[in-house]
Amino acid sequence: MRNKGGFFIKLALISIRNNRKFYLPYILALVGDAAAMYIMSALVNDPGVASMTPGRPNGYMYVSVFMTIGMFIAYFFSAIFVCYINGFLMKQRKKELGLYNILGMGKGHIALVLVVETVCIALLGIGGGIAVGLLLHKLVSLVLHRMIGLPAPFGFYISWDGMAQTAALFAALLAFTLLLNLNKVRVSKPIELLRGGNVGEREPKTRWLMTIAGVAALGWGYYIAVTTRTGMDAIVTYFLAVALVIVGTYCLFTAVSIFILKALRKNKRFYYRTGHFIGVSGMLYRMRQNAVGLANICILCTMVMVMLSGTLSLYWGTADVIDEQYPGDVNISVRYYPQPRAQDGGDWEPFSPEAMLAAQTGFIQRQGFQVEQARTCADFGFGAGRLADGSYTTDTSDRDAVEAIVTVTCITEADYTARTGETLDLGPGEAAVYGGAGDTLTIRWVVPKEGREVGVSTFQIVRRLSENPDFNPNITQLVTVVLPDGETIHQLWALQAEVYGPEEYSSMHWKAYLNVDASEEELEYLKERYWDAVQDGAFYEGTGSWQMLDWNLRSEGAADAYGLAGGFLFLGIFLGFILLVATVLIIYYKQISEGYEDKERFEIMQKVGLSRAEVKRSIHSQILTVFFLPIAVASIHILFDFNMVEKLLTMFYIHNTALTAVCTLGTVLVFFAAYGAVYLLTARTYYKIVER
Amino acid sequence: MPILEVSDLKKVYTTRFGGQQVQALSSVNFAVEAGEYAAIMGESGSGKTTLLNILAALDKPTSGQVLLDGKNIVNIRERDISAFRRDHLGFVFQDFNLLDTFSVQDNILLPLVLAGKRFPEMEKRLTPLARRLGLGDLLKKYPYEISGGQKQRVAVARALITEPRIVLADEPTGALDSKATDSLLSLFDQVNAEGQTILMVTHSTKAASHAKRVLFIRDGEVFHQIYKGVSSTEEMYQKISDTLTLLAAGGENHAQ
Repeated sequence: MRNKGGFFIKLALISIRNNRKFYLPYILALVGDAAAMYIMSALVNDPGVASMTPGRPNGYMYVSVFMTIGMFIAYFFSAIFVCYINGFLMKQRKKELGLYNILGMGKGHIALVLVVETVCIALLGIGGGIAVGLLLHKLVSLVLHRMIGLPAPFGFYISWDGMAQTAALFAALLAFTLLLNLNKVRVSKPIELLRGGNVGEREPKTRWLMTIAGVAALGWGYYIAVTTRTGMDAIVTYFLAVALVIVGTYCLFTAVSIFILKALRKNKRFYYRTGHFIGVSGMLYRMRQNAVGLANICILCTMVMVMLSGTLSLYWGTADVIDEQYPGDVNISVRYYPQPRAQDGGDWEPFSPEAMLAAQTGFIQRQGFQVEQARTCADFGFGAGRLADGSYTTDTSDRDAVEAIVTVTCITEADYTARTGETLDLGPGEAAVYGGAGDTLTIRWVVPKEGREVGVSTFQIVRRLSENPDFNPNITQLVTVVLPDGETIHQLWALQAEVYGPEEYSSMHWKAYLNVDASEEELEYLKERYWDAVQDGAFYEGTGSWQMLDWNLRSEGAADAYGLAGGFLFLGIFLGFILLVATVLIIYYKQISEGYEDKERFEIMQKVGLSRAEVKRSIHSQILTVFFLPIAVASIHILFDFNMVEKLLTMFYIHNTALTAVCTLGTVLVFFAAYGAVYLLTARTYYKIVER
Repeated sequence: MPILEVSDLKKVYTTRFGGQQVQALSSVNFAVEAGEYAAIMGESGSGKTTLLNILAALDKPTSGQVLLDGKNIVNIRERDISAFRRDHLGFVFQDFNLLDTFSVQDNILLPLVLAGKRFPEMEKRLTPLARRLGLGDLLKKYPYEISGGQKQRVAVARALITEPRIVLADEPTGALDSKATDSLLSLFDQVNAEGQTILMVTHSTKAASHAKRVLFIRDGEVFHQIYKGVSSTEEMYQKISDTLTLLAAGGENHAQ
């Protein structure tokens, strides 16, 4: 019995070795996925990180959360793709298994061979993956800490939990595929196994419904993507758009492609030419065989590119975000009302920006630091509806008349100049505007629902701003108006207050940005002291009435922002890696399986008079088309998706279209290069098979 | 002048390891006249497939020459061979070699498309040919939708559409049942009667009995040949059987 067991192990090993063209990439992919899984798990579990900033969360918090989510997603994709490859491998091996069966091995014995094989693959794949993961974890950890702006951790951490998790997850996955295979062997007849892949190929039928559905789904998805105007819209509709494009992509590859090819074939003058004749019929045949595979590749490519370009834009845009959101080392913001409201008591006094600034700088100086620079600004924003004639109304209750809900934010020219360094020289009644269209800015102050017009403000727009000087993530479209002075803003505020009434009118927003001559640690000390100091009621003496004071350090905001962006980028790279592995493997197996099928066809063509050179040219053009079709379609998806990603990024304070465009273009180019490399590698295998 | 003239053809294979030499053809000499219908018979390993491959310009002989219309095809440059093959030769194979990706019509037109002919001309040739071979109703079908006998008719049509100097048939009845075999052989008779030269390689006595001349090949040489003359197909069948029996007996003697 021991001998017999040895025999099966030997048989399984021989079979893996003989089929190494199929098994080696599979095992390597398992190694890659398992390594990625271990590293993510180890990053989540690493105890050294939390202790770096004792007592309070740091940017790593995001990483832990993202990695936990990432592990689920990664496992999900690994599972899909392991099942896909397994199905392919089993199809290729049917003949071998059928032969065993006919040569006298019972189904039990074949099952035993499969079990032994799976165990071998599991040992190699999971063991190798954990080993690679252990080696790479330190490197990845260093890169990650750099990304999120934390000091590098010391020592070499080995996560036993991570190993156990990885081993368990992948063992379960492989056990599942084994069960599938065993079941396949159980229900099949040996002669069917022996015949294997050689089932008569029928010509694909034109599927009208799918063609129309595909075009419609794709068109709808694209339409949603390009018409998205705000970040909130993008969040709400993103998954619908993605689902539509995925459905559209499957239909495109399975039905629309066949529709087009058949139309080409109907054109006799076009079709009956050497190149077209072989090409069109070959493509028709290939699309039937590979449509789903190509659609998978296309979708995977799109996902990888979207993920990488989005997270890259987020990461590289973070420096700008920090500069914009935290212009000073210390950033203070306060909300106030120029008039008392009903709930304000008799002790109401107007807010004094000067007194507030003096209180803050005085505090900092008392702690022994120098305020090197102080800048203050104020803005006021209110919701409005854009009417068909381009004017804005405060009455948004008439949904038919209102084209879009916007947030109008008003700032002074002085603040604009302080922020951007540009002077506008606005005269009375003039404005510079970001958003919207037209030569004049008209705001109709209409009491909501009553329809009573309190007044109309009109400004001559002397300048259109291409960049928003007061950007904030918002659920509505943004219109920013630069006005000559604070007085004009207060007039608008008063009109707005009259329209909305004291219960609903907006507050003014005052901000102070202070640059302090202090190190990061000293600033943190300052912040602690601040919250102590304000316990003393006299601190805000003379500042008047205000509410919702924020007191933030840039360094804290930066740590948070980089934690978030770095975590996202890291997740993007990790999932991108796993999807890329899947893509490469699917391409590889597709090339091999096609190679075997094409071999026969090209042999016949050579016999009836196609020269080797023509065979080569024909193979080349077909394989190039099939190979680059998915990424070409993926690039088109990316093109349409761009607007949506851009809007989505505004929710993370990123509104630098140029940067996002560069990141996207860069990602696409790098991906094309990587894809081309995969092509060169796999095409060699393909040619070897076809030309042998 | 004969259409095809084979003189002192020799083919030696060198095995991949060890350099051991195997002689497939030692010295083959024969000629085929225009309008002739010849069959080459021989057992497995007699060298008949090697011979056919050389005649088809799929393989090169070690020495000797093959003249087609007086031109030595052995010397044709590699890149001209495909064009030569599709312009001058027609092929019918044992396993049909039809492409499932093409309809019957497109399979027949394949050599013309490869030759770069215009579609109107293709149509002009296809219509009468399809009628002659009884393929009119099948043109829109696909190879996997028709029977073996029909497939072989399609293959014959594909071989004839280029109006080749000679049709080379390699075991054309090998994969057919007896009814389809009869039908194919009478088709060959008909095509030959219309003036088409045919050279068939077979080990089916029945197939060979339709030919006007049968060459027997053994150990890489043309060993014997018989002419049909005025005898009927049945008489020819008998002659071939007798010859084969003789050959088999002789072979055993020879081996001892």
